[in-house]
Amino acid sequence: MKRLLSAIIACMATLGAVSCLHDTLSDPATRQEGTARLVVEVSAKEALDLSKVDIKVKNKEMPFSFTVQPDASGRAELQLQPGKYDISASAYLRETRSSAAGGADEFLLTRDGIIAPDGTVREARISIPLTVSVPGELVFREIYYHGCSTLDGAAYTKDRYLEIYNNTGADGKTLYLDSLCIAALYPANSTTGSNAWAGRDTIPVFQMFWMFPGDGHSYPLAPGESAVVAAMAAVDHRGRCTSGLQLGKAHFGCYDAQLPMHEIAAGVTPMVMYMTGQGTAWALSIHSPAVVLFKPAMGVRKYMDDALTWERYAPGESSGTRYRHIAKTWILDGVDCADTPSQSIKRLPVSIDASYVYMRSAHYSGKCIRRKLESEEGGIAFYRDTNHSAEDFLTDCTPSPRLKDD
Amino acid sequence: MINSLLTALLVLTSLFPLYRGREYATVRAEGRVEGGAFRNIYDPELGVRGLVGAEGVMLRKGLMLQGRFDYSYDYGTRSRWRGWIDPYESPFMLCDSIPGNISQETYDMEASLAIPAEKWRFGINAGYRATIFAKHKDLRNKNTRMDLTVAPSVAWCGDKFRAGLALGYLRNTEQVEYMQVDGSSEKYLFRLYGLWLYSSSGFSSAENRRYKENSGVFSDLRLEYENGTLRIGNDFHVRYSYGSQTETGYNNLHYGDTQCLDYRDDFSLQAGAHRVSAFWEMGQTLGLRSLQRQELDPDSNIRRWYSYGGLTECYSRSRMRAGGLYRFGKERWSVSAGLDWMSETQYYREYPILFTQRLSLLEPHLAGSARFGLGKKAGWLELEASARYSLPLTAVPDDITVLGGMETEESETQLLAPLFEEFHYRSASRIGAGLNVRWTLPLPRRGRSLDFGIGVQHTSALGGPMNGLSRSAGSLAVHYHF
Repeated sequence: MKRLLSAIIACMATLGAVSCLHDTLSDPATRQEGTARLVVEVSAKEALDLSKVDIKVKNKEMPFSFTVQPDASGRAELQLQPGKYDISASAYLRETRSSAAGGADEFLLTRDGIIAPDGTVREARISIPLTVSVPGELVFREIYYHGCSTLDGAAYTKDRYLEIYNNTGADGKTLYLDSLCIAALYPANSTTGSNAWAGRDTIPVFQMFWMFPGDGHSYPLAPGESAVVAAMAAVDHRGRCTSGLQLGKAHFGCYDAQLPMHEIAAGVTPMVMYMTGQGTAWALSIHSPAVVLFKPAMGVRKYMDDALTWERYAPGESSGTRYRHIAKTWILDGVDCADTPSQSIKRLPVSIDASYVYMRSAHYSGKCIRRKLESEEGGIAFYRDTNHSAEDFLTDCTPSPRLKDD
Repeated sequence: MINSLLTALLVLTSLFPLYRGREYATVRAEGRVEGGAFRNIYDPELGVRGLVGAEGVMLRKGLMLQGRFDYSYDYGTRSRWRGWIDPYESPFMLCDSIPGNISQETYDMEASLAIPAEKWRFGINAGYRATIFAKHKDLRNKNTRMDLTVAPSVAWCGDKFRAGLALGYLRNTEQVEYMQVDGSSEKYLFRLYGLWLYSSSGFSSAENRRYKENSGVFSDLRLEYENGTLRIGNDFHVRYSYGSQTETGYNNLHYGDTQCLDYRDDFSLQAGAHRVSAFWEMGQTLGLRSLQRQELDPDSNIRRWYSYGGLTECYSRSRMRAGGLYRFGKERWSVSAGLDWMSETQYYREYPILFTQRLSLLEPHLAGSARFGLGKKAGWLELEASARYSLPLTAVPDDITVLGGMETEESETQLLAPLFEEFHYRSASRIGAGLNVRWTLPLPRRGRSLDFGIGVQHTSALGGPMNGLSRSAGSLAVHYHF
């Protein structure tokens, strides 16, 4: 009997000890020790007040982002939950309309340090060199990729478009669209979990790209003017869907006879298609495309002829699909659109887009992203372009493309 | 000897709720209808339940054998957010927001064996339950769940003092898979992390399923003292379980782990017609997430998820309950009065942001019962009436604190509408009342009887955003004892 009682008392004492330990763990105030320390150092070749730079850390699992300012030397210390992050640093210099931006690719932060691509642990310290850039001359003003609904309530995606704008301002110059190209990049969606091409100098093009026709001086774009490119159907959508867009008045249409899903109205100039993959339609992502405006340095024809240089297997593979690449230095403007910040991947390098933009509204909402208006002079708008799409774009806007007769 | 055997088995929770001191068998059929606007967010607007079951106890050569089998079918209308059959079991859940009708089938079975050896008693209890749950509107989830418990026990039975200990193992698994039939519009799947923090994406077959498993141990320690009309008992229960949620495939994707520890103690003292009982319980569920990255597996040439840096604690739910009850009972009637208190704190931490929810309630309750004889052939009638009032003491639905001097950008991290809807239900002051009537009809053959039961319950909210809403339930039961 005594032995039984002893056993019972011992059992209860053990349970009590476990209980106390558990209660200690449950106090959130004591759990800062489970967090990770990260040191960020920003630097710039130009003379900049580094304490005015915003360092933004985005959690990739959950849609949280935190902003801190470094000290005058550019150094900031952050205490964060271990997780998957990306980080960007930016400052906008209003007087010169220029911006300083930089960033680092996605990284895993643990209590022990940062996990390198090869799985080894390194010190939790990230250096971000800032690049001062002036706004691009040609930029995407609006991108409408979400799609909308038919009048019966079904999903509708044929009314999507991209609008390109001459952003040189009131004192600017006329630019020519001839031989410029637009494309979406691989991976086609931001939700694929990882980007095998991250951190490389060349970027794969998804499926096909489209070139503006012309002989070099055929399609001028004066300062403050736009060119609307219908991505799939340059026709009147007013009787078809809730967006009611009259893309029969678009300037250009992505149209090729090989693509049976595509349509074009009389009077719309067809773009020139270059197929780099497969498909019967340009499957621009409805939730997270990464779109670029680019011009191959050697000209489109030579670029297409040089398959040996510009077509490659996926990293780490020696067979399967060969992907057509472009050099990141050819890109005039690019926007990384994410579905949600959670677990999104980046496809554009930080030198072109240090962050990403995402829509809060649901897919097929009929909404678009639009570049923020910075100033207006002499009736000509100047839009913000800091290579930081999260800061440069408004989201969930009602589409208002500047069509031909508008 | 039967009482001693019972003591040996009482350490196994609710082992013989119908035990009446002899061999018996019961066949039962029960039905329940519930409806009304005062409901928790996971509850259906209208719920219907049907159950058939059988239970029996046999004594054979000193051995005591018990078995039970129940089949139940539940149907409900306009249920939402129910990604798991029990949405409170884990903070991590894959779910959708579109209301739809649900159905659930449950097969529940249990068996026990007890062996006496002088003053010692050895027993074992095993339970198995299989549940199938489905929503019948896009996005349609189909859940299959299995619950298994095995609990050996030992007891020492003296003349006045009895003690028993059971140690058990539990395991449950559940798999959920979503499908979409109507593809004309896009539906969203939500990944919840606790306190309605979430991420979401359009439905795709790439991430439409999840597998959850829990394994754990529990123990039950019971002490009893009996001397004449004085009887003192204490039952201490502790349960620990560890669970994880993963992709159902082989790509090694982990959605989160849970760690759960619960204690409960029940004390009772009976002296003649007076009985005092009290209980306290406390528990905590922790949510842990692993840090993963997709990498190319060089062996299979397939991209898989690899974990780094161990688990990070991101969620905690601490709960405490305590209560006391006084009952005065005579042969034909009894009255009771009691007071219960509960407190619950939930945290979600994504350092430096801390989300907190606090709720505490006080619940006084009263009950009374009476039994009327209807004559030798007509049997007897039992009436039970109860009332319960719930008063919130603390109600903080969503307190957000940013630590460490950083600025945060406003973004949609929490599903605020369901968060508040759930909290308003749980924190509403309310009054509830119930009435149960049972007629026991003895059958001509000795030892056989029929029970007919009917019950009604009604609950009304008395304050908060749900003020004026109510919910009612009615039940019918027929039991045949032989």
